[in-house]
Amino acid sequence: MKEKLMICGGCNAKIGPGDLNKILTKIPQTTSERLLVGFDTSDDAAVLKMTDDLAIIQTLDFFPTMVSDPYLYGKIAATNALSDVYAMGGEVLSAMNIVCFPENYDLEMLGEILKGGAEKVKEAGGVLVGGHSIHDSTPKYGLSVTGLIHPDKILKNNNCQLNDNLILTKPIGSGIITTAYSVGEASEKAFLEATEAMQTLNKYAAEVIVDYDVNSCTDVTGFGLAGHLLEMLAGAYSANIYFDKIPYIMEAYECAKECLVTAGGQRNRNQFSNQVENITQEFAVEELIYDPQTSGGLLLSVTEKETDELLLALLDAGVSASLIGKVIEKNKVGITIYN
Amino acid sequence: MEKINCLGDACPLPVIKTKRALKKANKVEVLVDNLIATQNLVKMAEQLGGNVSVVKENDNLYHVFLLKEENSLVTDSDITDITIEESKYNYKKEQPYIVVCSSEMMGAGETELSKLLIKSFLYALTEQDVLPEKVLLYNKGIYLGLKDSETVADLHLLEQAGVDIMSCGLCADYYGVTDDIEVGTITNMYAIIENMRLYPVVKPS
Repeated sequence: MKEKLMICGGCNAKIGPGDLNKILTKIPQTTSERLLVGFDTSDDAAVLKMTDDLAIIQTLDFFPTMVSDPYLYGKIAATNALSDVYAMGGEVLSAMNIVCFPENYDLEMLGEILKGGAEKVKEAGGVLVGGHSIHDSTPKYGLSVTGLIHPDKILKNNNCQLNDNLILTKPIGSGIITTAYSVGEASEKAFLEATEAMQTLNKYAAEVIVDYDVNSCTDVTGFGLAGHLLEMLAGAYSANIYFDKIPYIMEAYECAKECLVTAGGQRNRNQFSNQVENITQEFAVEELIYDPQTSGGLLLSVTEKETDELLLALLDAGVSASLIGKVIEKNKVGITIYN
Repeated sequence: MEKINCLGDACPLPVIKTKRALKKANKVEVLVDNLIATQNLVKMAEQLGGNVSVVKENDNLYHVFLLKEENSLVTDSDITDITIEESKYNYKKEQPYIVVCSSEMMGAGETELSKLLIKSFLYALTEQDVLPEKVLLYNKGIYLGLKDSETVADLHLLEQAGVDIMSCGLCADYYGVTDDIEVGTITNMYAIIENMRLYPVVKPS
């Protein structure tokens, strides 16, 4: 079986942040005393308190194909869905498959997708307990995931504090590379670099950070590094980030220079560029920080005091982690990018 | 003029096809079906040097015209080898002036005509040999820079060419449209006065 999937762009397929906010504000709110993290904070997942020392994390993520190999696609989509649990600081309990698949496609291909996903659930230490599948014109795959967490140890995505340091755990640029690769404009090597990061579970980072004073944590996905950092700053603080400290896929920078960029990246630029000042004056730098990531790394906001130890602990655990910037007092822009 | 059809193409295909077309022709017209694709083409032109303009026919049809600058845009080498050091936009900025729009209309006649006039004004502005330093938008003028407005694409074009687009923050608050401002930055009365004091003002009134 050598059939390939058509590329439709992973997190690039996400509905634009501006469009989404407009309709979300009109949706009736439901509430529960158990709800610790919900809809209102635009967080990655919901957290519901069960007992004083136990809460469950509920989350769901799925998307169209971003790579043509079904097995790889399954692994990446599952890694991305599981990531929301890790971004809250939790552990994975169980998962269910969500599948849309065309009637006229080879079912073997679906088997490959599900195999890739199941392997990642297993690696996460979770149990795969079923799922739901429907026919649709294009394939889509993901997971609904339940996780566990202590109610006092929830990591919110918008709780950074003044003078916190910012740490990023995977290189950015995967959106640019997978898209450029699909049209024959990026190398095999860069593609492997991107997909390697995309199928790396954020589990290994999450297991380390729970022991440190991490004030805020999110996974970098569709809104790009810029969008997710702005979400973390929540309008209360600003941030300085240093481009030479940000890990990125080298070839993505070259592609960005040649405008081999995605629609999702431009949508992010339209949405966030009035809150970003680019001191480097380099166009490609902006493209990278607006690049939508599929299954991106964790962005952490940690106290100054614990920064060094956390970085070392992450590196010890085999997690690539870089100190990329700092939370500062609010100024007229949200993010300033220095060289 | 080489004409290429990129209707139905996802980014970055329009950019790639356009680069290829520019290897053969000095002037290229590209058809695309969404605003985002036009913005990516404008960015490309800005990066590689050359002149670009966007004409919107409707929400699903845009014509993007690109004019290759002598020896600057694309050489015979493989397109992945293109490296041009800096933006060489054709627009000149010699005698500095600013444009001030205080309304979403131009003049005080029939509404339909007045709206058509301001649209035409901003389009013509993008075609000027000398572009303004800034475009200030206040009162209902801020509506020109809102998402989904018919004029925002031209304002984007001006911004890409180095023109500062500045919308009055107080006005945006008052009309409740701050989140819809799609182009440029927010400004205040001090900056508005300072700019009107420093530069000759062109006002579509």
